[in-house]
Parts: sequence; C-alpha cells; structure tokens
Amino acid sequence: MKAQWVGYAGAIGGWLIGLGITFALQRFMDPVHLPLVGIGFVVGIAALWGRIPGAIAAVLMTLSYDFFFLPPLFSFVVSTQHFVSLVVLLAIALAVGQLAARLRRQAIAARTRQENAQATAQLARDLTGAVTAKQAVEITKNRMREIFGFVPEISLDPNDTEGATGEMVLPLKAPRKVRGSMRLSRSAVAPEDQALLETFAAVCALSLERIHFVEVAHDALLRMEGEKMRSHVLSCLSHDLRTPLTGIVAQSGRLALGLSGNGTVRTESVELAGVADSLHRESSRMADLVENLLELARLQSGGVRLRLDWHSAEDLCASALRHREKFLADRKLSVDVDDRLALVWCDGVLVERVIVNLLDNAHRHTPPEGGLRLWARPTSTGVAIGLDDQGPGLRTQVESGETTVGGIGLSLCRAIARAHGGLLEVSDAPGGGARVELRLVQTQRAPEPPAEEVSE
Amino acid sequence: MNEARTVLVIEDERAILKLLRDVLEDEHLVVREATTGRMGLVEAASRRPDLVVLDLGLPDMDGKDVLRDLRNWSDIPVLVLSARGAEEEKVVALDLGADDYLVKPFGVPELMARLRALLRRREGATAAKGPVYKFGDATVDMVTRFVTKAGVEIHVTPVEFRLLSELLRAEGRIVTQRHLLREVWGPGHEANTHYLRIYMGHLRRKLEDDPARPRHLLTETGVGCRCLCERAEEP
Repeated sequence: MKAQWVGYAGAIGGWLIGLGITFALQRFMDPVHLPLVGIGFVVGIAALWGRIPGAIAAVLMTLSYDFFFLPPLFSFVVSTQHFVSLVVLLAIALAVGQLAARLRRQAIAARTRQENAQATAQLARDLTGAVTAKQAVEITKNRMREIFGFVPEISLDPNDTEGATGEMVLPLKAPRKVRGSMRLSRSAVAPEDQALLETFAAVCALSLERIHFVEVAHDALLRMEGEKMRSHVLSCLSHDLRTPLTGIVAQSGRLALGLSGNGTVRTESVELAGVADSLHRESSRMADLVENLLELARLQSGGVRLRLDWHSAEDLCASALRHREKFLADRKLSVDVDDRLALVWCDGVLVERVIVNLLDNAHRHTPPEGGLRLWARPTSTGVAIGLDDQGPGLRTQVESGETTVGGIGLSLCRAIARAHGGLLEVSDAPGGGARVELRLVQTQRAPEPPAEEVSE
Repeated sequence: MNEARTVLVIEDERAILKLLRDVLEDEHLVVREATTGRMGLVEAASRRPDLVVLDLGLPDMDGKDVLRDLRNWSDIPVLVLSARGAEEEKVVALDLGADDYLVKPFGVPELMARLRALLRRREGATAAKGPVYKFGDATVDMVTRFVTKAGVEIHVTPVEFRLLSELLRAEGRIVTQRHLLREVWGPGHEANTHYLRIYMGHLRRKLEDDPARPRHLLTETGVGCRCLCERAEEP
C-alpha cells in the first residue's frame, strides 16, 4: 500500500521537476524537442516505481506539454496537426514507460528468485547436519525466523492437519509419507512468500524422512548386533554345558554298566549299581532338559530358519520312538499312523523333537501301567500328530498346580508349533487321560514320484 | 584277530578325551590322542590307526577340513562327534567321507556299537563275502536280485531294489539323502526328498515286521537313512 503512494507521489514529483526543466530549456530549444525531456522522466519514473506511476507521468507529461508549450498556450485546445503529434507522443511515453516498468519487475523477480533459492539451499545445508527430528525442527524454525520474520509451529504428528480459523497448515510431505505439519498465522504470510514456504516445508519433510530412515537403519543394526551376540552366547553356553554333561552321562553310564553288566554283580554293590543307574538316568534327563532349554532359547531369540522338507509322519514317529526305546521299554505303546496321511512339509528335526518331548511328558505324568498311543492323522487343514495317555488327565495336572502344563518340554513343543505357524493343543483323550497334539497347517501336497517303467 | 588295534581320538576337550580313552581301553583298544586338528593329521599319518574319532569342533581348524585332508590319502574309518541340532554339519561331514556320526551327549553302549561296527567292517573288508545280505528274517541277493522275507519271495520294483542295494552296500553305515537320491534317481533329483520318503515307506511295508516301528530300515531325520544288515560269508 505504502509503496503505491510513494510511486504516485514520485510520479507527480518527477513530472513537476520535468516540467520545471522543460520551462528552463524552453528558451534554447525548439518546442518540437521539448517532449524528449518529459519522455526521459517517464522512463525514470516507470523504472523506479513501476507501471502505474509511469502511466500517470506519461499522461501528465502529454497534457502539460499541450497546455504550456503548444499554441494556443495555456489552453487544451489543439489544432488537428498538433493533436496527432500529441497522440503519438502519449503512445510513445506510455510504451517506453511500460517497457521500463517491465524491466524493473523482471529484475526484482530475478532477485527474489535468487534470494529464495539461496534461502532454500541454506536451509537444506543446515538440515544435513541434523541427526534428530527435534534438531531438524529447530533449524527450520530458525531459518524461517531469518527469512520470513515469523516462527511457525511444527508438529511431528502426521495426522495433525486441522488448523484453527486464520491459521494456515502446511503438511510436511515427504516422498514416502506425511511426516508432520507446519502451522502459521495466515495474516503473517505474504502471498508472494507462499511458494517459498511450501519449498521450506518440503525440504524440512525430506530431512525428517531421512532422519527417520537413519533411525530405522540404526535400530536394525542394533537388533542384528543383539541377535549376533545372543547366538554367540547361546553357542558358547551350549558348548560349555554339553561338554561336562557328555562326560557325566557317559561316565555314569559306564559305571552302571560296569556294576551291573555281565551278571557279575557282587552282593555288596547291588546298592551301588542302583545308585550308578539312577545317576545315569538323572544325568541323561538333565542333558535332555538342557537340550530343550537351549533349543527353546534358540527359537525364542528369533532368527531361526526352519529347514523345511518333506517328511513322513511314520518316519518321524519311528525315529522319535527309537530315541526313547529303552526309556519306554516298560510301557504299553501303540503307534497308529493313518494310511491316508500324505507327506508332511515341516522341519523334521524339530517335529521329531516335539514327539520325543510328548513321549517324555506322558512318561513322567502317567503311572507305569498306563498305555500310550502315538497317532498321526490328516485334518481338514493339514496334519495332527498326537499322543494319548491313560494318566490322570489334564484337569488333574492343572489342578495340582502345574499352571504351565508340561514345563520346558511342552514350552519347546509350543515354540516349535508356533515357528511352523501351527499350534499345540492339549485336551482330554477319548478314553480318559490327556491328549497333546501338534497341529500343522499344510498348504501343498508332495508331488508323486515318477511312475516306474514295468520292465523286469 | 585281537591283536591291539589303534584308535586315534582327535578331541580338544579333556573331559571327553578322558572319557573316550576310558571307554576304548575297556575294549582293549590302543588309544592315541590329539587335541588339535593339525596334530591329529600328523598322528593319523604316522601311527596309521584303525579308526579315527573326530570332534567337529576343534580349536585350530574346522573338523570338516581335517576330514577333507585325511580323505585325500586315507580311507581309515572316521567316526564324527557333533552337537545335537547341527544336522547340516553332519551331512557335510558324511558327504566328505565320514563313516558315521555320534551326537553329544552320547551313551557308552551307543558309542561302542558304532565303534565295533566300524572296526568289524574294516576287518571284514579283506574277508571273502558273498552277495547275500541279511537283516531280520529278510535276505537280499545282490546278484540274482532275489528278495525274501521269512522264506517267501517278495517282489520289489527296480527303483526299490536300487534304493535297497545302496543302503545294503553301506553295511549299516548311514547314507545321506542327497547321496541316495543321486544314486537311485539320478543327478538333478537331490532335492526330491519326497521320493525317498515314499520309497522307504514301501520297503518298510514289504520287509519290516512292523513298518511303524522299523528295526532295520531306519531314517535319521535330517541326515539320511541306514539299513542295519549283515553280509553273509561266502559259503
């Protein structure tokens, strides 16, 4: 507003000065050349204050030339010949003034552009040093105070886009997503600053996104280091636990064999043989416990890759039973694998471990005369492998205070089931007793092997 | 036959070394010890043992490299000791030429059974053997391809016979599934483990008393298969 009045005043002032000079020159010059002074002033006024003051000066200059210097003097009346000259003069004054004004506008625009680019570049440069989102926000605010003279409110909540009346909200939009918003009073923003503001918002958003991904990468690295350390600790622990256990299990086994083997037990060592035998049994149990614990830790530390392959449930059951052959020698045990059962896509070693643990668990919780039934059958979504016992049943186990039925053995089974995307189900067996089953989902069937040529 | 046979134990853990020495000496075997892979290789070359027990986790070099070096110049039977859960390692060791493996912690009877089987095979290698293998009440004649169970002839398909003969040839040693698949179905079929599962099932149904609890045709999950059998002496 103010600038406009300065322009008008300048136009009038310029015109008056021009008029004075023209009067002064009147004596030495032919009146035909006098308008040149006026045109010079119009160009100057337009260049200094713009189009409208230029146009005003052009009109004033033309009229005053007519009034003061063309006969009849001090009258706007003109002859036809002079009228044409005046129109041409006005046209030239206007045109020259407008051209000068345009040059000025372009110069100003170029300077503004350069300043904006410099401000943006400066902001971007400052933001490269920011390592936290908070720093980025502070830097942006400081730069904006310098450039625009006001400080916006910057929120890092991408959903915070509602502005109060009279407020302007600029989303901080980065390539991947909106990272927050910038909120400022509408009245403080000049219309020509809008574009620069948006650029600032974009630069700030980009920096916030970079910081976000730096943090993500850093976290991933930390997690990886953590996993590496965990697995290192685990493998050291495995080695350190297994070595003495191997010694204890095997040496106690030797002792038990030596004392009771060959039927040459000396009478006084019957008791010792019993001790050696129970030592061996218990140390073997402890070794199993440690193996279960280590496996559970390995599964829970994440990063365990299942070694998926086709396995036959019959194979897995048979192999598990072979591991527990001696242990289960006194039990009535039946195996019931459904003939319709296809091959199972799973980590065989882990599933075998589940079966072994189910056998151990049942062995521990059921009386010696109770029979066991190991079974496998297809389900609507895959396969179920389970063990029924004839023990006191599940309810009794829960009631007797075993809140986590089965302890570490079954915890491991659960972890293995989960790793396969399956589940471990504990229920009552049809004939009383407990049933624990591993349910695995199967999404594909094993292809048939090629048919054999019948040529023999 | 009972002249002192030598067993070289390559193991870095003193406790296990002591244990193996005790057990082996109970069996009247001469025990040589090496606590590093390099020492083990030197001992193996200079003492010419009848059997090597090799721990895969050695301080100076990978047990598998020891095995590779050893196999370059020797076919001494090697029993590998490895941790539970390290199935891949076992498979690699077996493919490199280990004869059998034992998982720590192991029982003495298990250890002795493996050792005896390996030593027996080494001695038996020189004796004349007939073409007939026996396990349970089944017999397999490798020349006539005649298979019987409880005296009755059993029909086996050509693929079944190829699988059976691969297992029998190993004489109780474990054969990795990769090896079986390559030998029976041909190169390029190493990943088709389902073939192996299906055909092992067929063989068990035909030759085992109770296919759900096999005694001879065994699968060791994640590693391979073995057939506990005997080879009849040449009459």
